[in-house]
Amino acid sequence: MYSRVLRAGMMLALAILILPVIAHAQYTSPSYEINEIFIGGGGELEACSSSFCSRQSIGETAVGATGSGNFSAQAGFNTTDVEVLAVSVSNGNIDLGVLNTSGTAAASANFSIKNYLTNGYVVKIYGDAPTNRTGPGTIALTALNSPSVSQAGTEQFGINLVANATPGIGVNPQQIPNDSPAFSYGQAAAGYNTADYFKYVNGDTVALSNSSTGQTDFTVSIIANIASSTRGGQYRTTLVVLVISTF
Amino acid sequence: MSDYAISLKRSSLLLAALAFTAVLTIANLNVFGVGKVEAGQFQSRKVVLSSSLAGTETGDNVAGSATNGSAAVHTFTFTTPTGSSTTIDAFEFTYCLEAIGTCTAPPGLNADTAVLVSATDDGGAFTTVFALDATQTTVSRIGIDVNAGATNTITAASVIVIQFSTIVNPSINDDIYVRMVSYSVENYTSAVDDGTVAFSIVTPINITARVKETLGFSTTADTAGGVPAETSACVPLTGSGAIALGDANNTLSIAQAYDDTSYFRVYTNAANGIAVQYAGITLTKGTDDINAIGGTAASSTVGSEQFGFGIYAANPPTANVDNGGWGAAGRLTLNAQYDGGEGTITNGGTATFAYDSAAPNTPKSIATAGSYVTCDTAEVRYIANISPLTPAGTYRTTVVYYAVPTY
Repeated sequence: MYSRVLRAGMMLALAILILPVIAHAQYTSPSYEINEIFIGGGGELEACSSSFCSRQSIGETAVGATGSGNFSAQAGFNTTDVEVLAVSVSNGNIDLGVLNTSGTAAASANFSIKNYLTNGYVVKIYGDAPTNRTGPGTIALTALNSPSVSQAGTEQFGINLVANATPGIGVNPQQIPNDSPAFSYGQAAAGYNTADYFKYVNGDTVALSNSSTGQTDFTVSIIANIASSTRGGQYRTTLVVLVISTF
Repeated sequence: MSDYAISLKRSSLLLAALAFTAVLTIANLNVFGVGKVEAGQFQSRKVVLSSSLAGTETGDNVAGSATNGSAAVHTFTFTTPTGSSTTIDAFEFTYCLEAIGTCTAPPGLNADTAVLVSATDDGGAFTTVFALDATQTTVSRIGIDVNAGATNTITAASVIVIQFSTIVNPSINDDIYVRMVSYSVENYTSAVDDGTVAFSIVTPINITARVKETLGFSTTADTAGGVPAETSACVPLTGSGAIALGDANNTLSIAQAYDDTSYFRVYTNAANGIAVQYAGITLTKGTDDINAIGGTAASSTVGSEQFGFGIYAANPPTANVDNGGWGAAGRLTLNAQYDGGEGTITNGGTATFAYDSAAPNTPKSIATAGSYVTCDTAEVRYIANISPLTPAGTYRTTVVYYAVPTY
């Protein structure tokens, strides 16, 4: 009798031990919602020492984003259940120096985007081409309204978001932490994604992600050329990076 | 007890354990929300800002512009959940630094200044008009509702667009979340659906560049080697500016007019244009002079004292001189009193000339441009006539040319 009770107890303990690990995630439709389902080895979202905290997982069979036209999901223990949009702009003060007709002035700015639990984002850049406001009127450098190569001696202002050879500036969008396997999906938009071709149209979409995504670091390559007729003086502009995320 | 009975009991225990496991699993799943039906969530939801700059950035001071974060437009778009039509009498938009949980108001944000620009249901008007609810609107929250007692029905899967203006964006560069909730009654207590959207306040990209102010201006009367071609560099003119009017002995005549030419070439990138001017006295010998034609163009009058000049507006006799197109973009416009140099200089000839020496130290304009000049070369034709009473002697003058750009 004692052994039977012991066996039954062991079976119950075993049953409890093999219970699937269940944690939070978000699966929703208009009619139901599942919060943070996880079946697998498990992990620890707040493993902390006195100095730092980390998120840990073990035995995951799949990680990253997945989806179709009707749903999207983040696989893995280390996912978030909170909408996230994180955008930062750096190296935003650019001095192209004294422009001349014999060479191209070029410089770069950076922005990075992370966007979870979303259907993706688009990045638009607003602002005029650099404008001379020294007189009563305003005169802007000629913005390239279609992708064009840089031509010294021809008035041009344009940007792109990829690595270029001529001039040698720019970096392709960097997926953080890796390109492969990818956890981030930001990309340069059409018109701004071809090496050595530059364009600038106020309000254009310059980058996008079609899905929830980890961090992508973008480099905005900026070029300016002038003609002999380009009016003298100081040219300025403020470009505004606007990220629109659809959740 | 038979072996069969023991086996049956063990199997029963196993089944009981498995059943208990299943019960626990389902219980766990329920704890974490499987099958939980709550308020619906707005779909395809987003917020678009007119400016993602901080509220401290006024930019061009134009409300709603991309560079003005102090008077921003916030446009919320979302789709109501599928299902059945719902009575919605109020919407609330709460700005937080967090997507869920505790709501910390973004520093610097002022939504209390918001103006409801529009609220549409599938592109059309709501069945009942929404208005800003001042009592529910604070620096970090905006409430809009219908009038007390009124109701508004929104069909399922409707695309709702609600736009506010004159919001002062947060003053910090951070990620901001807006928690949107709809209510079935206008007292904001019966939540129906909700959803969170996000935007980011970021630093601008400020670009500065400089273009050197340029001016190239040269004159010559030396045509020994011809006038050089302009080329893309707008090659300057060189050589002497000396002109000798008259016959082979530099002598004027009462029987015919004599002429000679000089040239000027100019380019500039002046944003606000340029004026080409001259100043000087007329041909003079001591206290004697040859009368200047004056500021109004006139043709040659042989036998009368005249000194003046006119520019060849067309058909200049010298190569590499502009022969038309004056006034076009990047070109000078010739002053009408000085553009008649082409033609004959016989008595009453077709060419006209002017020369204003009334205030010799005051420059007079002969050509202007409202903006840059790529490269213009003009041929200036001088004429001199004398009368029988003109005292003999050598007459001289110096005509000074100026180019005055306005940058």
